[in-house]
Amino acid sequence: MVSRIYLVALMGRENNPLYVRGFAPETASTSHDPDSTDVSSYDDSSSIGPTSAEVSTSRDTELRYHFLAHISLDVFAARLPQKTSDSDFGLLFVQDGMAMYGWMTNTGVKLVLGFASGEIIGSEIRSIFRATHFAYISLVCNPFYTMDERRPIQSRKFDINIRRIVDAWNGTTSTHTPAESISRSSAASPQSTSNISGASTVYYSNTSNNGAIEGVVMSYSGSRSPSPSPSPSAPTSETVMAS
Amino acid sequence: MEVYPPEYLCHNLPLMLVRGLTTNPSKTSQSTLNTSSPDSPGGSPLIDTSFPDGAELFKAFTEGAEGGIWEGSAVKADRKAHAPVFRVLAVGKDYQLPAKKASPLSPVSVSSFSSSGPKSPSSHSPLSPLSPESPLFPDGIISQFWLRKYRNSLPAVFVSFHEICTESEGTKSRSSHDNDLIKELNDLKKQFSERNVKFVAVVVSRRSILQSIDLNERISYLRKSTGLDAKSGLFSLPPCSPLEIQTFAKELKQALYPIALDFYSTLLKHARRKRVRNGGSQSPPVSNGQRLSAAGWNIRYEFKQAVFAEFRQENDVAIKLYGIAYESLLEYLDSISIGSPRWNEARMILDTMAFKILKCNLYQCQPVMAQKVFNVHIESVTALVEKKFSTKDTYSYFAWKAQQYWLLAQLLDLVPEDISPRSVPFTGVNTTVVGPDFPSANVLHHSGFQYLGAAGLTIERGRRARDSVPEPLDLYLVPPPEQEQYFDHSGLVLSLLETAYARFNKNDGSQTRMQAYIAHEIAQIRFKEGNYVDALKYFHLSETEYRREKWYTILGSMISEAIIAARKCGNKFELVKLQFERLSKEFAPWNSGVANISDFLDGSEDTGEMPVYVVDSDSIVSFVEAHFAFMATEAHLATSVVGQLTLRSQHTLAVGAVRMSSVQLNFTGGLKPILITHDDNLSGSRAQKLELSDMTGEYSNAKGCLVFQPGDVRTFEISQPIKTLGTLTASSLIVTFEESSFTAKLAINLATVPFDEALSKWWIEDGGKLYSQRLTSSLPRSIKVIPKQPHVDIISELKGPAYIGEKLTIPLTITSGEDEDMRLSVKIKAQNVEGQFNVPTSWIGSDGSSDAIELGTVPPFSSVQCQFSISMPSDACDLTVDVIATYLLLSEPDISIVKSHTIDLPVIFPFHVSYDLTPRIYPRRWPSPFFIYDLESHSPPITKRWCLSAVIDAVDLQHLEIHDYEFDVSNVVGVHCHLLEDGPKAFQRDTSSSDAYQHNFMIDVTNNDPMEKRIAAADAKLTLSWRRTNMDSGSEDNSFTLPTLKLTFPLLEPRVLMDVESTSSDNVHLVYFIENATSHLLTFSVTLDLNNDMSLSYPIRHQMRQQSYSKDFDEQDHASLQEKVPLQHANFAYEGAKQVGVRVLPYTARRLDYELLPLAVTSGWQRVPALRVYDTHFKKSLSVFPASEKFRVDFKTGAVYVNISSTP
Repeated sequence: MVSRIYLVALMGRENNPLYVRGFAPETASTSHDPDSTDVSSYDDSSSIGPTSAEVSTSRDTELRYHFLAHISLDVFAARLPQKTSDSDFGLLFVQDGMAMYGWMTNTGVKLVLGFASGEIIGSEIRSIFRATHFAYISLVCNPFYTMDERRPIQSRKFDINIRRIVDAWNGTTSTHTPAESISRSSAASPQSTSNISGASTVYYSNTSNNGAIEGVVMSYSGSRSPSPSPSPSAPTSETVMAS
Repeated sequence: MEVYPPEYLCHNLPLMLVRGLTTNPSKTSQSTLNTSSPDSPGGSPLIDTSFPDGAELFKAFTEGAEGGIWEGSAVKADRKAHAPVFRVLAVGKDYQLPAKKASPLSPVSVSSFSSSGPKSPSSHSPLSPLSPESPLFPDGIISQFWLRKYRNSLPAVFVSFHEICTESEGTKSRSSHDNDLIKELNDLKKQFSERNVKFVAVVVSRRSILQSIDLNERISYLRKSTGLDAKSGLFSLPPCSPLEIQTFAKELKQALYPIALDFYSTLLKHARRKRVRNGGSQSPPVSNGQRLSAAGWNIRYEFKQAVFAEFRQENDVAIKLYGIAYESLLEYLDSISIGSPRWNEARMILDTMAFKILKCNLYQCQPVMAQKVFNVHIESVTALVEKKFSTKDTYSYFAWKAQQYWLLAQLLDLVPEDISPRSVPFTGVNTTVVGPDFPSANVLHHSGFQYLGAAGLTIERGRRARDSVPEPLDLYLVPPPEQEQYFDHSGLVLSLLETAYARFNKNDGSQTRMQAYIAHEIAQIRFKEGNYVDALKYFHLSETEYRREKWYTILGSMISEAIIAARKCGNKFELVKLQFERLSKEFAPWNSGVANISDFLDGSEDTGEMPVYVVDSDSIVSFVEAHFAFMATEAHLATSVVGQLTLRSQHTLAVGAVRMSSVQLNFTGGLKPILITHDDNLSGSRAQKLELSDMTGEYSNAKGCLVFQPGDVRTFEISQPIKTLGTLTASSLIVTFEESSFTAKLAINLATVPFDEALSKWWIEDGGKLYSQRLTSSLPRSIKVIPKQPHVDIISELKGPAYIGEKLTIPLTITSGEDEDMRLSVKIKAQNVEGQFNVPTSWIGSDGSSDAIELGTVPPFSSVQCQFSISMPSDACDLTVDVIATYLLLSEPDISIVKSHTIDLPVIFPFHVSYDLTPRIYPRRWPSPFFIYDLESHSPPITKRWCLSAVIDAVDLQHLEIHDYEFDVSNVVGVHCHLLEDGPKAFQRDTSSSDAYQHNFMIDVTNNDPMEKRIAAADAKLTLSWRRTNMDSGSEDNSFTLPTLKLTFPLLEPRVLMDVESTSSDNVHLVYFIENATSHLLTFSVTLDLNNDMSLSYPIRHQMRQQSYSKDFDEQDHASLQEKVPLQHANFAYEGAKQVGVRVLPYTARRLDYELLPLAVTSGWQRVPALRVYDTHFKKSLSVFPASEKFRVDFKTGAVYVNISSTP
């Protein structure tokens, strides 16, 4: 079974959330079962406020990801004193059917990936971390983006980059095609009204079926970059770029 | 854990039963098989409580493992360190072995063993499924009663304590006792050996072998008669100390442990044999036709084997055997019909076996394997349930699963820290980092996570319980649906969550985020329950954590519920606080229906007095953001400082405009708070300059527009004169919202407001446009107030140094450079450079009490004079005198301006004095030695005259005048000193050579001591009165006492004094006095030295200082003179004895006169012939001392120079 990324989170040096995004399939059942591989939200039968059940469910999923990302900071803090130079924090904990893996950059930014528990992820996860880190560096280095390390990241470009990384990993084995995912999230995201071309873009080639990330190409031009492989994710990215 | 029989969960240790030590058997051992009933009391000579060491023995044996769920000695790493551990239970006299075969008869009593024995028609154990009275009959696999038998009733080792009688008299009585004992021991031994149980007898005696001589013999006899050997059969225990008892117990256990393990090995082999035979010799079919299948029997034997392996403490073997039994049972469960009571039994055995495998893996320090076992068990049972019931979406499934997590959590609570650490989520697998290649499901998390898992599953169970139940229903571990409805799910969830919360509470703040998460979950459940007080409490616990690190998504999600909870429990402060927080736009995406400030309390306000709620903005996410900056970093006193208060309201769009009633800006460092009140008439412009009014009251009041639309930024500029020195800091802000029925205040601490680049600017309005400037200061809300620049000059007219002990008056001239009148006061502070002591000063012209002088109003550009006097210390030091002039300008009467001036004043000695003591000729004759002056005195009172010349020099001699002196000779011992008062009583200045003062003091020293003394001593003290001549205002008289001079007068020594009475060119008259103050007659050889050298004369133009004549002819001078001056012949004619022997009588002085006639008339300093006086008796030349200052003597050569005047 190919593992699937359900959660990408970035936390700042002062443990504040920079970016928390879930990539769960929409049709997940709700469960508190720790062994449930259906990563999904809690039941919210007693939700407060006149929100519709659908909105409430997606919001609870989001909230749950926030909780998981927040809890992972405990493990970062506990392990940091014994940590040597490398960034890999490995498995942080398994909770609520999610296995959380951590990575910390030299500047103290923490990266967390959430997978369904019980799956063997494979060491390619490190390339995901590096790619995510790279996307973050690109964002920080962007002279047109005002970075406030204490605020969540408000960048559509960054969001697209992360989605691209995740979709390249999850690949076609996902119940939803990446295109659907992205278009859905784009529609939901209020920032995605205009397309910023010319800024840095990260492409990943999905050369094998198990979602291994092999190449990272950076392009500063707005033109279509040569697609290195017939992977389904690359055209999807282009679609988004053009839309 | 409670749902499982403890026998299934507890660790199995070899059982040792101890009989005869107590009348109260262990609790667990009483619960023997329910099929057996106690009867037939024993009549054996058991030791009882009267035995002195009974209690100690009992303690030594029963102490240790009772065999709980976790047995520390079973851990692989620790096993070698532990002594053999038995489960030791005490039994009473009425103990019975459990029945081996089911029998309608009562079980056999051990103590009253009858040879008839158990004769049963059935050949099966009462616990076998074949026995109709067994609970397993007819097709059960195994029950906890079987385990209980081996845990409690059927021991591997049976230790029986007996007393050997040593007290009774007579060998007959003893031997009858011994025979009884032998009989009983034989009975017991026989009975236990039938069941393969090791029987051990311990014979205790009240007397030691020394006290009871035949004891050894009797014990040997006992052993012989019973066939119990000394090594492991029959032990004797004489009275001994508690430590010896413990050693005995330990050694006994050590000796019996291998035997005990053998006991279980035999049982294991037996079970294995039966398993191999595979139930071939099973019982005949029972009446109802149902019976345990061969597979069932296999499971029974496999389970037994595993249990016996566990008894043998072979964890690895037990894991394997339990594994086999588990697999078989899982398969077997398939065949059990759902409705059967055997289903639940088998499920429980399955859970038990999984638990045992898991626990044994933990004993083996393999947490990963343990977690794997747990996962496999969950998966297997899930698959089984799905297969059997076609769904797992039932409350019973979740109840079972929750139970598994709960069980694991409780086990992990017992596991030591090194196997399951609590501070990190899970144990590291080899390394600290568990990489992605390792299956994440196989790491064993600590108990907190397991409790959390159990809580989550219980929530699921509760949800399923509300749903309709599909048929058929699995009722394992759960009540039927109609009772499940009333089960307190949330109570269970809460207790699990609270336990989890406690497990994550590490007191070092390491797992606070997990705690926050659990607190949030608890709060949610409490909230749903309607327990709003608790909900609010847990919301509060949770909120703080998320607020601290800005996790606003989570915080926003709980605010609405927290507000409802606060409202429901009537906590108005909390309500206002949360409402304030909800106004922030950070929470807009998660909150609808945000209340306006006026609706904060939702009409639930009190009708009485207006309550005031003060909320600290640090404790919430505040929607009001504030920044304060001063324009400059430094300001002079009395000038106006300009500052800008920038406010931004980040409230949510939903509530529209927010109206603040007032904003109060507080300062530390001497500025009154500024109160900005809202004025509807003012426009809400971006930047407003405030006009401050009412400067006299508590606040400086101003008006401004305080209505903010969402995101509005408004800058208020203030300008205030400052009147206090130091640092002025804008400290806090209080934003007041006055509503119709309550007042809410938001206190913002400017020190803790986070830096915001958008606000941290200086705003400049120019032509209706607003420009921003970057602030340069790192702390713009503080300003340093420095004093105003003074415009006065201070000049002190002090010349030269100060002298010790002097009372000095120093005039000051203070010149104003201000262009308006000033009120001036001056302060003096004098102290030494190191600041160790102050020197008293006083103002001349003031009352002197204060160190400051008011100089009144000074017109512009004019000067004012003042004087102060200062008394110098009596020792040399360096002083600094600080003159601090403080003045107030009449236009700014509040602001004092300070100018300081420092005078450096070295304090030194005024004079240096050098003394010289020379002899003089006493003009009168000495008293006759033949006349008796004093009967006690040995000698007549001889007086000698001395001259003490003092030469006084000073650093600044021109400006000092000595106008008086006091000279005194004191502390005279043995002599009488008389000071001659001749000449003027003033120091004379030697204007010829320098400005130094000189004075000669003549002292007559008369010997008046009856005893003959060689030397007399005296102290000379000179005090000078002096004044300065350079002070314009005239100086005060000062006195300076010189250090005391020690004078010594030789009294007895003969001396030769020389004087010159005439020094004209015609005639030079030399007078020599040879004094003999001794009581001896002295003889001297006197020679007038006339050799060639002496005949040379030197024209000396050299000017010499008189006072140092004795030193002037040092070698250098002499040499230089010889070089410069050519030799001339000059002869003296003389009259007087050239060479003569002189006798000087005691107490007399001889006078020798010489007339010299210079032949070559040369004026000036001439060397004249000198007298040599030689003591012929003592073989010693006497020095010739000059007795006046008219001539000079070179003491080295003895040459005498006389200044010959040219005219007579």
